[in-house]
Amino acid sequence: MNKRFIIISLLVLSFICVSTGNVMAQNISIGISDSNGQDITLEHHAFIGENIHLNITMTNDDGTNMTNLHYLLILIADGYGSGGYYNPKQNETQIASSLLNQSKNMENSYKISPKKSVDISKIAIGESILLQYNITIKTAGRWNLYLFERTMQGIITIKSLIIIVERNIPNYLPSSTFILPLIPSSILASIIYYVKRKNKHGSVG
Amino acid sequence: MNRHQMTLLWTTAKETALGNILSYTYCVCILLTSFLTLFMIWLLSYFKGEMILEHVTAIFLFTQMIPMLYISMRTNATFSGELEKHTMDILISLPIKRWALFTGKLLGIILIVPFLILIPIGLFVIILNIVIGTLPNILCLIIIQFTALMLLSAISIVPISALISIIFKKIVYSLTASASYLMVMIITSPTLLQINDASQYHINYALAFAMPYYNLMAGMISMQYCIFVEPGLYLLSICYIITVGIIGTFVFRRLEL
Repeated sequence: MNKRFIIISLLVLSFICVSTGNVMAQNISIGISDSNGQDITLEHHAFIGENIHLNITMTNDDGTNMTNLHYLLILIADGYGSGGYYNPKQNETQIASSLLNQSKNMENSYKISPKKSVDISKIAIGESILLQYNITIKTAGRWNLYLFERTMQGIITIKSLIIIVERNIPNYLPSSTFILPLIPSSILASIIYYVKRKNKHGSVG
Repeated sequence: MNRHQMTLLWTTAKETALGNILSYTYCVCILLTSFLTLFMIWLLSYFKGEMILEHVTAIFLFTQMIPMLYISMRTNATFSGELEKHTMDILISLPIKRWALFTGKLLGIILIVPFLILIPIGLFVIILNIVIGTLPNILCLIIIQFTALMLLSAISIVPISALISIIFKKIVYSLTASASYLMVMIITSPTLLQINDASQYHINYALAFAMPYYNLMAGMISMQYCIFVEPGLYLLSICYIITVGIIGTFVFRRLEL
């Protein structure tokens, strides 16, 4: 192996590292836990309007210090179709951008406090950073929580979690809801009866 | 098109609308549509799982059948009924032009359509709010778009039923012809839709123009793929209403009593 080949290989390798930027450089481990400190690995159950407290711990497992990190937390409810937002032909960044758009259309159904996006100036080697979020979801269903990172190349998903929000009424409609259709119909029937009676009396009079 | 004719047209529309609204069958239709909506919600178990969009559009499609049939029936009763009972002769003898009479009656029936569609949808939204909580903006958008298309599809039934009525004159024949048109449309529409794969669909605009129910189904498919109803479908419905309305007016003007 001659010297020129080694230099070229090193140059190519360094170019790949630089071009892929933060994606390659950052090796971060993320742990999510609830208010009791219990780890949430796959899914979390909640009720409508419940305050979900999430602790996200980020640990720098990379060999270098990480600087200028931008994180974004979003929620997306399942069941509203994926067409128009993303398709299998899209790359990871395009999918993330599409998910962001989809999430914007559901913003009235959830609240993330203190704020969705967090900027971290530096995480030193081996250092851990704790992000605390309070999430309130107002609509029942299966929600996907995504933690995105904004990089030079675009947005990438670094962690996702499922939050299942239970409905107000369990399976099958209670019989009392079947009264609801009777309300507008009976109001209309009463109006018809009243008008017809009035017209009848009017014509007689 | 003078002012006097327009006044007569509006009077005809108002009287026709009132005559149709102030009937117990109208109440029954609203009640049945509302019950069917509720039944569909129950059947689909409040959209559990990941198919909310599909379930919402399916509910709307199924519940649309009753108003469509009812509208067709009322239109037939208005035109063929009056032709058969010869009350139309009296109306024609009045100083109202035939086009104004036809358009007025058509408008009168169109005026009763919104309640038939909006009351069950209002109920649907209330129940959904109780069950799943705050409706996401995206779901509201879906409901609004689909409601608009449903309204246009239901209105499309009015001119075509009127045209069939004045062609057949006898209520039995016109009802049979209208019901056949509707049933064929409802049954064949799902089979005529072309869905190539998970990321592609094809709408046959000629079919969407000729069949309002196919138009509605095409709207459902475009909604499932793109979260919005293709604007062309609204346009097709409007074109259909205007075209069939104009043809109906010409036929009514040449109608021999």
